Amino acid sequence: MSDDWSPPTGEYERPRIIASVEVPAGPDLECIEPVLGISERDLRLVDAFYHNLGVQASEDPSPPTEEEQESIDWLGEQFAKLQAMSPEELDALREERARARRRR
Amino acid sequence: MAAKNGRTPPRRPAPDVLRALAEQNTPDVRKEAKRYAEQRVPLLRAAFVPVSRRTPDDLVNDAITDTFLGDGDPWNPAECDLLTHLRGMIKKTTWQEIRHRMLVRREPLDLAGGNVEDVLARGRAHASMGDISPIMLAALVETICAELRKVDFNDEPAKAITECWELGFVERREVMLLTEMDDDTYKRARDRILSRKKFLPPKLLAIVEDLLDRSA
Repeated sequence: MSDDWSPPTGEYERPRIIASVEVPAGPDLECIEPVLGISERDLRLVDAFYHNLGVQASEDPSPPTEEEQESIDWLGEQFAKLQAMSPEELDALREERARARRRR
Repeated sequence: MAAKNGRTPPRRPAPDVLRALAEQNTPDVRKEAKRYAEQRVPLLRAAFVPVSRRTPDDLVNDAITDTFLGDGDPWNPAECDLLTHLRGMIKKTTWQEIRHRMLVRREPLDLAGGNVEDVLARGRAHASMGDISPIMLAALVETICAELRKVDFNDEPAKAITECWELGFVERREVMLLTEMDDDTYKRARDRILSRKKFLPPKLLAIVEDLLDRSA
């Protein structure tokens, strides 16, 4: 017999939690915005929140909107162009993107 | 081995990786990656990174292009599917942009010698230019953190997940490994945390999201 009385949302489950996690020491834990008091830990939490909102959004099975369909088609065209490039063109593209990254 | 011109030859993905990329780069995956990328935009904007309506598409396209060229983190199809890889690349790129902006901003703030009034005055100037001020970014981070830390004291799974997030472990697989949660428990707890978005002050989110329209 199961004595699982957990509610559907599972608030009362008690999994084992992080036995031993080594927290990176040093500058990673510094307050990176000293005047306004934004800590690395807080920024990571907010980053993770938005990351998981994104994961949740990407799990949404609803069909694409008209605007999304345009993006899907455009991304498909860009990929087809990449696939059609010669090795020399790909090398040139790689160089160009590396230069653009260095300029940022 | 160095090439004739002395440069290291470019690293190209193995044929089986390119084959997997072509197979998995379906319209559905592109839709899912775009929906993911859209959720990064408010955060980028709040960190003063210029964005437009094209940004989500550009983020996805850059991730696909980097995967095809073998730039950035290599993709191993045996370890994760393409969507997970693309999300990881988009997250990393945007995180680096945000960090870069924060570090770039750090210099003038340090020059202010800790004079908060100067910083706030500069913040107001930014706000008057139609940008999110440093105050806004700090407020966004502080408000979201405060809300996420309000999870039910007895909600151990949700508390464990936010703890993992604070430490930089964000992927389902690594959080489940660290907390020894099963998939159902993880997903329900994660959704409870994410549902707290509705408790965030609407104005705060609206300001961030409105900027998208203004910058488009």
